[in-house]
Amino acid sequence: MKPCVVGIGGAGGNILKQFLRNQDLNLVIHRFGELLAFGDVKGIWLESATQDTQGQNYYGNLSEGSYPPYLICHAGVGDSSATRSYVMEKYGFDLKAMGFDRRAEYLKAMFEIFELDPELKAKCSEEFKRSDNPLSGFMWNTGIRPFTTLSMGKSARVSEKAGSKDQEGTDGLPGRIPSILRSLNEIGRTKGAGELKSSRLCDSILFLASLGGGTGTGFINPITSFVRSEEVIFPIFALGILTEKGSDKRHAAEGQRYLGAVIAMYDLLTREAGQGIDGLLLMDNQILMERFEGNYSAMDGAIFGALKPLLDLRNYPGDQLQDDAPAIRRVIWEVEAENGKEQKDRGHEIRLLPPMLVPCYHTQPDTSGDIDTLVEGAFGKAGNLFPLGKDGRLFPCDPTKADRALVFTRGFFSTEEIAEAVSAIIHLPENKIKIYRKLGDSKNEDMLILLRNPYGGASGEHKRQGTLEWRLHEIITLSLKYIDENQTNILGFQSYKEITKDRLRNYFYGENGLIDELNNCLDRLENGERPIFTRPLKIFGDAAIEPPITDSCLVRPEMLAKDKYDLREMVKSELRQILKSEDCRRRIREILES
Amino acid sequence: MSETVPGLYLLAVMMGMVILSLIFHTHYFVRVTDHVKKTSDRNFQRKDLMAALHIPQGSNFNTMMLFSWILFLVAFAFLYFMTPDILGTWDYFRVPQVASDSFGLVYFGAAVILIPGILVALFVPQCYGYYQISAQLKQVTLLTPVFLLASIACSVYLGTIYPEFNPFYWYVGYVALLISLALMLTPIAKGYIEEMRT
Repeated sequence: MKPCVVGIGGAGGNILKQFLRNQDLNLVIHRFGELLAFGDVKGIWLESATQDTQGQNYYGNLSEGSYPPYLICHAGVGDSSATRSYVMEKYGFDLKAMGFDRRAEYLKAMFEIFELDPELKAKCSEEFKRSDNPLSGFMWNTGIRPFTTLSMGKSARVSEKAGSKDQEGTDGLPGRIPSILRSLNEIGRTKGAGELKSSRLCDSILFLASLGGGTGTGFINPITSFVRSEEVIFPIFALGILTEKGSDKRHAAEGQRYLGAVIAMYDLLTREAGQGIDGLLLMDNQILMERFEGNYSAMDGAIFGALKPLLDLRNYPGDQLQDDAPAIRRVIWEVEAENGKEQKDRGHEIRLLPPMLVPCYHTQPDTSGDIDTLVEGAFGKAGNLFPLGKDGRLFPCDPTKADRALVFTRGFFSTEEIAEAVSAIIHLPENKIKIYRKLGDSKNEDMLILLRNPYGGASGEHKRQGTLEWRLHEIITLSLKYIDENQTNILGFQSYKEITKDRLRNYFYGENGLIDELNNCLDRLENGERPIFTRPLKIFGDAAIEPPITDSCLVRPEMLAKDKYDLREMVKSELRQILKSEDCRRRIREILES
Repeated sequence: MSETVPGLYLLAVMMGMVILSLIFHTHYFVRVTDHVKKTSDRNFQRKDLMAALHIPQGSNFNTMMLFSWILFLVAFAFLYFMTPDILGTWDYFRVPQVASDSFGLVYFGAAVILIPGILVALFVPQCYGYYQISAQLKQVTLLTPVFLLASIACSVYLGTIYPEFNPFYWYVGYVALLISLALMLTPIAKGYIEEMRT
């Protein structure tokens, strides 16, 4: 798997630096060829606050051909843009605000209006020609798409015509010497020259963002939804870093940040297959804070280090195809096999929601320990979930609750011993443990296990410290408290117009709004139900959608008309029986006489 | 052969290092192949394993190593074949048309680059593609051309003072050459030692 890693916002940009750290010799005065990152990944930093990009010298401006690049998401919108004026006058949103408002609902609302306001869509299509969303379209076509394999072939030519004329392509490197010296980079590679270009592009996208910050939290869902609207089956994953406890450096309160995180997670996890991401990897910054005592550089390094087994390209001989991103995507979406009777009983189609994937990571020197110590280091001792930070779990969870495990190892292990060691702790049958082996480096061996949906199945787990239910219950409770106590802060932003305030009020406080839905989420967590987030919510759309019936990680649609008719007839028949009975007639008589 | 410097014996030291590295490199593959065979689910061919083991080291590093090895050959030729004082066999001054030319040393260096240099360019950089070489070690290898240029400078000085001979400059040139060879072989040796610990 060779993802285009997209860091969104401040945290995303800092973590992305680790992914793009140069593996090559640093000659300082010159660079032959492209920057070489681990796993040959490519990356781009998306940011909304221009001032944040000025205070650093690692990323360069994409429009100037620098690599690694940053892209200001609203750079495609002119100061005197008609679209910008319309949005400001009607809704009170400024498309070019520096950093926007660091609230998830601000950005959520701002992106929704492009989907739902026909007049705005028309203005946007007329002004921007290539897209009906100047922000998402610009970020995708100019920033991300050129790094992917989608930029090759016929669709690439269409995209290039639609793309920005300022774009110089992904290889716009200063001082690059082509052909002869470039080929030095490929001496010894077995791929032919004709395959070179396509092998350097990315086969998937991995978004990095904090959950509970500003730009990353607010952007991650709109940009992933837009990408999915253009590319239905291209693998897209997101790594969300849940914010830590307490206030942050910008003095944003804990409740506000958790509310942003919850809104972001909610939106990401309620987009059905083919409409959003393929999986949300969750990490908890609180665990990393405790492990590294607040050293953010070390924390960023740990996040990157944990994903190295996923990104390493050195597969076992004959296993190159295992790294195929679409194949990994398919495995992540895999559901239980059904027999004919189950399908007949159900009678209607199942819809799928993206899973939560919790990474568990451990590394050890090659000479110490074996596969069992590696697995135990990743999961921790059985039944010992708290305190956090003592084992390899990067988000609180009970590993035995997972319904699938994707195991990426680097070292010399056989498939059987890996499956046996993992199964011994999490008690999954071996057909639900998918193993991806990479070659070791003779110094250290490590293992990354992605646990799919490690929650649910038993009530009361929200009271057990160290479980996923416990952590989500905590942040949802704090979010509800914040919503309840901060109506003025939420609705009283100075530039909001009345239409925006009304819609936000309805979204947060209205019937079947966010408060109601989050309370339902708490109930599901307490009852051990899956999934937790089920019903998509919109600020400017119609929020009154009938809640779907849920099962496991699947969502059932509304009942078929025939089923509804049958149910009605059954209820009528039962009522008739009840009303005919003597006991019922006696009770009715008593009521009338009284 | 010169009686002032034991050139042949010191040459044997360098050849010994190169041969030892070749042995390490070969044995490294034997050990890795053994590990993979014991844990693999299927049979594989050597070329598949070589492809799987390959790690891109980057254009800068490959360029630097290629340049260093070619420069090493030039420095070696200058140190041993500039004057007859070391090996007493063929030397630069036996071709008076070249030796008397203002650019004679350049022609000498170019001849070394063109013939054995091509062989180096074809094979040597590939060797490094099978080892995990840390960023710090890569930065240390930046010193290699510095030592090589120092060795070449000593050899050029010896060539200009010929028929005079100053053993001190020859030894300095040799030590610089030896250090540069050690730097270039360190990634292979380090990789092998780490593999032997498993």
